[in-house]
Amino acid sequence: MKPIFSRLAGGHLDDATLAAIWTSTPAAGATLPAGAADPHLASCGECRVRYDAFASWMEEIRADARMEAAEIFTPERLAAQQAVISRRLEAAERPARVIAFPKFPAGGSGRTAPVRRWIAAAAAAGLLVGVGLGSIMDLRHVAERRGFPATRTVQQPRVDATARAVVPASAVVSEELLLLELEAAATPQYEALRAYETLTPRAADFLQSSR
Amino acid sequence: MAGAKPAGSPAREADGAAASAVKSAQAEGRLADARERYAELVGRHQRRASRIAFHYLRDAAEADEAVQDGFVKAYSHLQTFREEFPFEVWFTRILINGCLDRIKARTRRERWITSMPDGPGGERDFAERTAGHGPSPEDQLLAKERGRRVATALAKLPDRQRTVFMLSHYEGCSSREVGAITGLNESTVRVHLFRAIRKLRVLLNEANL
Repeated sequence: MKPIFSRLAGGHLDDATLAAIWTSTPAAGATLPAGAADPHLASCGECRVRYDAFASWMEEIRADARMEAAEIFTPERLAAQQAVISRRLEAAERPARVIAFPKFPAGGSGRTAPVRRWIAAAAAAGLLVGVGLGSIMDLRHVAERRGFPATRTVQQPRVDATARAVVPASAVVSEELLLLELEAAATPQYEALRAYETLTPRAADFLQSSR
Repeated sequence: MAGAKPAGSPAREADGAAASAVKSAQAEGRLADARERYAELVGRHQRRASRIAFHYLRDAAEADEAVQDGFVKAYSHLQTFREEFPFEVWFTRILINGCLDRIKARTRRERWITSMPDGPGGERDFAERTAGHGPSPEDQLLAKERGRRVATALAKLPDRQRTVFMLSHYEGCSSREVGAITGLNESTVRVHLFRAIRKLRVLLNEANL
C-alpha cells in the first residue's frame, strides 16, 4: 500500500498519514521503531506524540471489544454452546424418523377399522358400478320396456313435419322448450368457449333422439 | 497480535491433524469418533468464533446461533477442507459468510418490523453479565459507551472494510491471514484497513468520541 503522506502546515503529518503509517507496519499496531516509516516521525516530537495517541486509541478500541466479548462469552456459556453443537451434530447424523399420523382416537374404535375399510370399499365400488352402468345403458328405455312412462308427456297425435311447423308454440309447451330456454340462458357469451360448447352434447339432442 | 498463529505452529498442526482424523472417521463411518475429534476443534476455536460473530451481530444469542451453525456446517462439509490451508482460516470464512447472511436477513426483517431498543448485547445479556474484579464501574460504563459507539460506527462501514478491520485489529490476524479468509491480496487488505480506520475516525469524531 502506498501511504498518503500528506502534510499539515509546518510539515506535520495529518491523521490519515498517521493511520497509513500505523497500518503499514508489518503487524498493524505493533510498536513502531522511531523513524521506521517516516523520517519526519522520528525527528518531530509533536507528530510522535500524536502517533502514540493514535496507537493507544486503537489499542483502547481493541481492549474494549475484547473485554465486552469476554464478559458475554463466559466459560459456562461456551460449554453450553459446545454441548448444543454436539447434540446438533448427533441429530444430523441420525436417520430421519417418520412420525406416524394418529389413526383413531383412543376410544377403542381401532377394532372396527377393517369393517370401516370394507364399508368404504363397498361404497366406492357401488358408486363406480352405478356410474358405469348409467353411462352404458339408457335407463329410459329400460323403464319403458317395463311399462313405466319415462317422462310425463302428453300423448299427442302424430303429425307430419309441416303440420308441426304451424302448431302455435303456446300449444306445445313442453319440457323440451323449457330446456332449450334454460340452455340458451346458460350459454356463455365468450367466444373462446364456443368450441367447447359445440363439442358438448345438449339435452335437446337426447330428447330428440329418444323420440 | 494475540489471535494470530504463525504458520506451522503447534496449534495449527494440531488443527490439521484433528481435521484429518475427523475426515477419515467420517469416511469410514465411525461417526462417534468423528464427533469426538471434532469437539477438540470446536473447543479450540469457539471462543474466537464467538467473539467474531458477536462483533458482527452485536447480539449474544444470535452470535451463539451463528457459531453453532458455522461449526455444524464445517463438520458436514469437512470433506471439502484441504489440509494445506489452516482450519482456522477455512472455518472463519464459513462463519463470516454466515454472519453476513444473518445481517442481511435482519436488515430485511427490520424493514418491516420495528425493533425494540436495547443494549449492545440485548437485555438478556445484560442480566447474564456479572460484576468482576476489573475496572471501576465508571470505567466500565465509559468503556461500554465507547464500545457501543465504535460498534455503531463499525456497522456503517462497508462489509469488506469491517471484516478486514475486525480480523486485523480485534483478532490480530496478519494481512496474509486476512487475505486468505477474505480472498483479497495483502496490499488490498492494507488499503481496506487504512480506509476503515480513516472512516472510523471520521465517524467517531462526528460522535465526539
